[in-house]
Amino acid sequence: MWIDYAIAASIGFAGLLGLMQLTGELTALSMSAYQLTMAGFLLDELAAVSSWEGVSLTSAAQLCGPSEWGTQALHCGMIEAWLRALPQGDLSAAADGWVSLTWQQMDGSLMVITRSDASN
Amino acid sequence: MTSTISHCCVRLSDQRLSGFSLIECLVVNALALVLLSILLTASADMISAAQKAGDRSEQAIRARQVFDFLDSLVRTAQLPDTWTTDDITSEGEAVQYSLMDPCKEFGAVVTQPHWGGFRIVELANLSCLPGADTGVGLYVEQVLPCPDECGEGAGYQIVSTQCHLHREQTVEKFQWQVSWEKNMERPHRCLESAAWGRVQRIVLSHRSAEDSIEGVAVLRLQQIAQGLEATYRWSQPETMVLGIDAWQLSDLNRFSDLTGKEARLTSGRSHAVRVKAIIGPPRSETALPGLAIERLLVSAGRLSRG
Repeated sequence: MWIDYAIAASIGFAGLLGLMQLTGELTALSMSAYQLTMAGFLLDELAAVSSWEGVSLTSAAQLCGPSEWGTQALHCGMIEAWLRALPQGDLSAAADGWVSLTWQQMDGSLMVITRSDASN
Repeated sequence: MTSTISHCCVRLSDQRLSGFSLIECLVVNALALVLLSILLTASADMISAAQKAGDRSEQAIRARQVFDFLDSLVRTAQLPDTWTTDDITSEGEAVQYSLMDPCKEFGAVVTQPHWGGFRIVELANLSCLPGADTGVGLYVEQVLPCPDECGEGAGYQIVSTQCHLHREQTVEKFQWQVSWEKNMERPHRCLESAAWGRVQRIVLSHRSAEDSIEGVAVLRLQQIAQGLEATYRWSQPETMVLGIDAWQLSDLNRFSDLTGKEARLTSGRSHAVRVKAIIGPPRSETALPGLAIERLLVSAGRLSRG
């Protein structure tokens, strides 16, 4: 009878753990979709700001990035808020005109999306 | 008889030894219930968190669809790039726009150098719009190049004034003319290389949950009716997106001077409107706040996805 109890309990536990695993993965997937959408908004807004202000995308990224004086130079809209919403969010500009947005996903891996003036 | 009773007692005694006592059963059941309740609570929390994350993601995706649509409208709210890059129009002129009154219909033939644009309109002032509310709306005048993007139905056709010229003839300034046509086929006797398209007018407006038939706040779209008759009229509003709780528009080309009067910025720059939309939660039972998204829509430049 102990064995029966142990088998029934382990099946129940395994089922519940599987359910928790599934919901955890669903949450991670939804969070990834949300973060990716927000990152897309951020880069679109950055492109719009650079177009409106007449500066390159890399300049806009530097001015709208997390620097204290940057946001005073340009009206960066919600760029800062979106950047804060992304865990470990970082906006960096490369010399070749590419802007990359990096953030940490729920599983700890880093996600990077890039954009250049040419794709505007 | 005695031996039978004795055998029976021994058997009963054996059964007691191999099973659980009542206390043991109660303890085991209590432990199992405690563990089960802990697991169920944790599972319920996780399911709730997953549901909230899913709803939040759905809100963001809905916002993305709305702003992608707005971007696509703004992209076409000017003369197409291919019409303006061959030195016919200078770079400075290409970003300018000439937007007419939404209620003012096109004449028989209207000729001007620029077409397309967008601006904020006061809906209360637009008596020509059926079913219009108060508040502000986004008025967009699109130029859709034919034959790829303009469709086939009747409507306002835009064509270069050079269309009907012979190759040796020139006009001093490049102009585009718009007239009502029954279809969007290539204009007769027009040069092969000449571009033509459709001019479409669209008004986007917001209706609150209290006023809407659906019972939720909606974003609505109205456009010029494409009937065969050449009467200039606007269609009834169509629901474009459900669950847009609020919608605010601000014109970045306008500013208030020290006296409080509104003025326009110089037209050398591109035109821009800031749009703020609050996307409501997909399910009313989810205790999720609306997702506020603010985006800048700029006329010049070709914005694409990140």
